[in-house]
Amino acid sequence: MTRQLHLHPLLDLAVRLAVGVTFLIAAPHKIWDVEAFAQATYNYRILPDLFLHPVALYLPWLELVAGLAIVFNWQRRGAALLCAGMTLVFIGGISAALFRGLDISCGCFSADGHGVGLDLLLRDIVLLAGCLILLFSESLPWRRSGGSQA
Amino acid sequence: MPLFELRPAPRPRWLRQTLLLLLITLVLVAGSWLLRTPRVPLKADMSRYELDLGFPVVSPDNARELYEAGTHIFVDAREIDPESEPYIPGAFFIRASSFEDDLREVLDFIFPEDPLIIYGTEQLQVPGAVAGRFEQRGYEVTGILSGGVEAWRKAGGELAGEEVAP
Repeated sequence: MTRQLHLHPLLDLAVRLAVGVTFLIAAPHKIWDVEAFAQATYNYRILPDLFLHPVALYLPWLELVAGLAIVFNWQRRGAALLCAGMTLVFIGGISAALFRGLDISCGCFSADGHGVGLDLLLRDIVLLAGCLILLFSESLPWRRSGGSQA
Repeated sequence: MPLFELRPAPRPRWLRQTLLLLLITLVLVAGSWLLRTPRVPLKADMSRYELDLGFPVVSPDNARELYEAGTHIFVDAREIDPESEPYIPGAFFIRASSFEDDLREVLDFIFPEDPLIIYGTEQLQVPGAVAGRFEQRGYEVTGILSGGVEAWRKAGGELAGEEVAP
């Protein structure tokens, strides 16, 4: 039988909060101002025009749903897989922008926020690591201190 | 209590969970899209979007003044054979796809302190990308020619190689 990583509940909670809250913070401004997010997405010049609005409409809600699911440890594997997938897409977009020398705003947390750069790439790689930890692990059950051991 | 343990893995349910979350998201997106006014069109009107090029856009008239003053170096960023298309006389051909090789050939003629005007076609992404590569290498990019070669021609700008144009 394959074995799986089980994290201390506090460590598990810390990773879930770090990943989940990042996605939760990122979502609202994109949901509120779809066209500003579409503009930020357009600046990357990797998405066909046909998909610009559908992606700008869907992605922020996916961030919100997956972020909430991660924080509340609900549908954990699916949420972690979606967050990892989204983060991989972000890493791809930032890498492409860096490779082509584009001086654009990343559009991550606000429309005119942080410009794309290596620090942003590093942040997303750390975020991806958090997603993968959640994807391939479970939380150990909480135990009272001094409780009986089996 | 240890920070982590290895225990037998339960049956994976990630596919079902992922599909469920995607479906929930789809319902929320559809609901918010239907309720929201004004409704964001599913097909984007691309004329409403402007590329954030990260560089100033120079009008053809302004570019002509700079060209005639001889203070700026013009760079042709189009992915073309230089002998097959008209180009601004004196421009250097430096393309995004072969940036390093093209730049190496003209290193003796273009210096980082030289102000550059980059041009291409009316689509500004390509010259924008080349301008970005120049900036990464420490060059001074003054701007990108708005409208490219065609706008330059319409503004009465001189072109070389016109006779070979179809």
